[in-house]
Amino acid sequence: MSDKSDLEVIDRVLAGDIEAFSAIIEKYQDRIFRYAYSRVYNYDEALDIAQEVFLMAMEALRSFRREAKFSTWLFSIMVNYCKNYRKKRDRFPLVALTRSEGGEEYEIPIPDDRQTPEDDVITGDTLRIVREELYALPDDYKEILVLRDIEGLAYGDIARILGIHLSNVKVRIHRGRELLKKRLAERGLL
Amino acid sequence: MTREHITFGLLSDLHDEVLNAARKKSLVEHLNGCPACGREFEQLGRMVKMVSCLRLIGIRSRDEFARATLSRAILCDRKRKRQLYYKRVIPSAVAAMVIFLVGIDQFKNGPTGERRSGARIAAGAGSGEVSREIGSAYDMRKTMSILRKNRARVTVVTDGYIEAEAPSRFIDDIQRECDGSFPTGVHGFATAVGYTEGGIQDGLILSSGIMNQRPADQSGTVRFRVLLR
Ligand SMILES: [Zn+2]
Repeated sequence: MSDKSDLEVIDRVLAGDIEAFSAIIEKYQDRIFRYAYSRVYNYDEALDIAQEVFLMAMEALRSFRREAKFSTWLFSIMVNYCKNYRKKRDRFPLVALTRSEGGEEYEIPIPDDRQTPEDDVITGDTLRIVREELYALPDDYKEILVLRDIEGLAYGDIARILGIHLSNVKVRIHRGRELLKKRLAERGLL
Repeated sequence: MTREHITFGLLSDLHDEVLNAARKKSLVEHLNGCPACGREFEQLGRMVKMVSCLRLIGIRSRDEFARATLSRAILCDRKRKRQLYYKRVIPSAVAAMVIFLVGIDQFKNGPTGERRSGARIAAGAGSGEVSREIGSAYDMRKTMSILRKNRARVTVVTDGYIEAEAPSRFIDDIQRECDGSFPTGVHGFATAVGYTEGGIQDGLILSSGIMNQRPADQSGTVRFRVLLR
């Protein structure tokens, strides 16, 4: 679904067809969940966050100015929500306790067709280590690598989403990748 | 080929293709001739590829999540519409209530405010009535009882004065009673023009000096203002 069709859906929602919003949910749910999961490392908590992000977006839909892509606007809500969520959660360490327990329960689904002969074989164990090391990075590096290397967003979009300058996007990507590469090398993956 | 090794930042930019063509060309030339940088670049590519595989992370029951989220969205929308409705309705209801209460107040005391009273008094003065200003040595309650006793009809009450009209034959009594030991005369007030179609125009202009104390027509009505001191 292109941004044009996002806008069509939004028009329908604003005209009162709330059910049309399901197209937006279906399209973006995994991406928002993934980002939330990278921040809280707990499956259920990440699901709750994803749901809240969609509800906030729907509430704020009238304020979407259409100057940027809808996805950029939605991801900005996501990033800010997660930031505030973390702040709030850090004030209530009880919730943080359940986080580390829940983090281990979620196995990354690995379809068989990923392990093609010409590819490097990326096993479940490899992905678990990559995930562990990525999530262990400082927040600034982790969030930008999630947006860039997992979600494949353009530098300009990332700058808008995070509200930082393009040159800062580059620097953070450099440093994040450099640190991750060092850590993955230490784990014997590179 | 440039002699110095390529920085990690430039390798990262090269990987993401965010360099201009000339820069890219010189870096690629270096990579082709430098095994160390070539290896570094290859490792970077492999790492980014591994990280991108984390795209496999997703919601287990997507349909269920979408359904649940949509249901909540619909509920939130209903709640928002209800709140919007109340936001619209409550202020109008409050406004209606205020108008109603003000109406009652005006019915009891007449409309308040200098401009309106001035206009009313001008109309009165225009129909041959005499305007007066009386000083009262008493508080509001006592003054009101004096007015009631003397068949005065109160039209305006403010913190500073009471406006009323009474048969001219009672005016002297009202003044005497209100005065108590207060040794003042009666001050008149002239008024400017009152209403037009567009609303109230000019207000009351208080004139200084003593007015004729004796009502011109004993059978007429005198509109007067009692100043509470
Ligand atoms: Zn080199």
